[in-house]
Amino acid sequence: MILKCIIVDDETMARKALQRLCDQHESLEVVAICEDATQALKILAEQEIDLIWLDVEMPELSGFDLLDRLPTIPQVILTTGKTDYAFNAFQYQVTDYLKKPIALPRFKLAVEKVLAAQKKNEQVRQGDNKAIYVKSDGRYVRVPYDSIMYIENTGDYVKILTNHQAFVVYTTMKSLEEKLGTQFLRVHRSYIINLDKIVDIEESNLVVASKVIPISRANKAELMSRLNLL
Amino acid sequence: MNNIDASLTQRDQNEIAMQLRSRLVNTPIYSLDLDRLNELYGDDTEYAVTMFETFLEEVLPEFSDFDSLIQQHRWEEVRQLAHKLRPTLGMVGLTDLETLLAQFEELIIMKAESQRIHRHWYLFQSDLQSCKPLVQTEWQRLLTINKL
Repeated sequence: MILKCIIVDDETMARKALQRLCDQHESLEVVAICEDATQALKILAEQEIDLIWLDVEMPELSGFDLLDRLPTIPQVILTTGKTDYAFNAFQYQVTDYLKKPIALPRFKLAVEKVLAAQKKNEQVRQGDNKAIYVKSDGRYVRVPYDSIMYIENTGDYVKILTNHQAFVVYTTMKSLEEKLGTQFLRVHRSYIINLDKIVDIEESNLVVASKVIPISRANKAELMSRLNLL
Repeated sequence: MNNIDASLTQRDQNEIAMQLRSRLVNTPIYSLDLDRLNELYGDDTEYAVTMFETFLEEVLPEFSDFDSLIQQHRWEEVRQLAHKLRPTLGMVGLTDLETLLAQFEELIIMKAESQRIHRHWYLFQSDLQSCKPLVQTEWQRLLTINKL
């Protein structure tokens, strides 16, 4: 499992230290390094991020101000120069809380907590190569690939549409892409489709189970190559 | 210290100048916290070199921002700057100075009297200048090891 993370800190050495520690960890990929919360908000609106390394005290917008502005909060590790924010950390249910400067053993422990939490919170698990397991009402339900029509990202959650019901799960499209078989393809930022369920295709749309789904330009070539076109 | 706050009374200024002279004669002997450095960097000298270099070239100059803020009594900005820079001292093994700056931050939070804040700041600044050669020497040593 590789976690996409961003670093948010107004202090230079703190950013460089975290970048170094993250670069040397096989489970982490740093996709952005931000000097303030405003930069971070822009990145978080554009990309799916699994983990935020977040400084608390920053000018203008604090780390907590940033979290207040997020529709969904990924895993967060707060980094700070003092321990006064423990109560706030508890309120925001952050995964860990590190006092700067951060030593390697403590960093590794924090990452292990993140990885463990990621596994525990997984609402979709890979089954055999013909199904996935979706968490529903506290138990896992087997959802055969053949029953899935398409998957839609609605912003706050993901909806898996089958031929007789819809599952709402709090996960990421990227995570689902990694679990699903090759009969599925992401055709748009917000849609993954079952290639076997396509009813009709036009220039920039396709139809699955009477739902018109847009095809993004970035994904079109891949879609065309995967279809058995005459 | 060149910029003793002109807003202080003459008596305050004399007192601070006396303490600084006394400090120069009786400068505490600082050394780098090697255990701390080992905990932070282990065998990764490349990492340590980067951090020491960043401190000397980019972070150390930021400490000069304090003077004008203190002279203008912009205490919240002083506190924020102290809070921001404090961990950087630990990253180059200046644990005692880190504690000193934490005490400085506390004085501002407690709204201590201006004279006390000034006094503490000038002492910290004097000690920081004394410690700069230690950091530079360690950086050079790390550079040498890293090249081997």
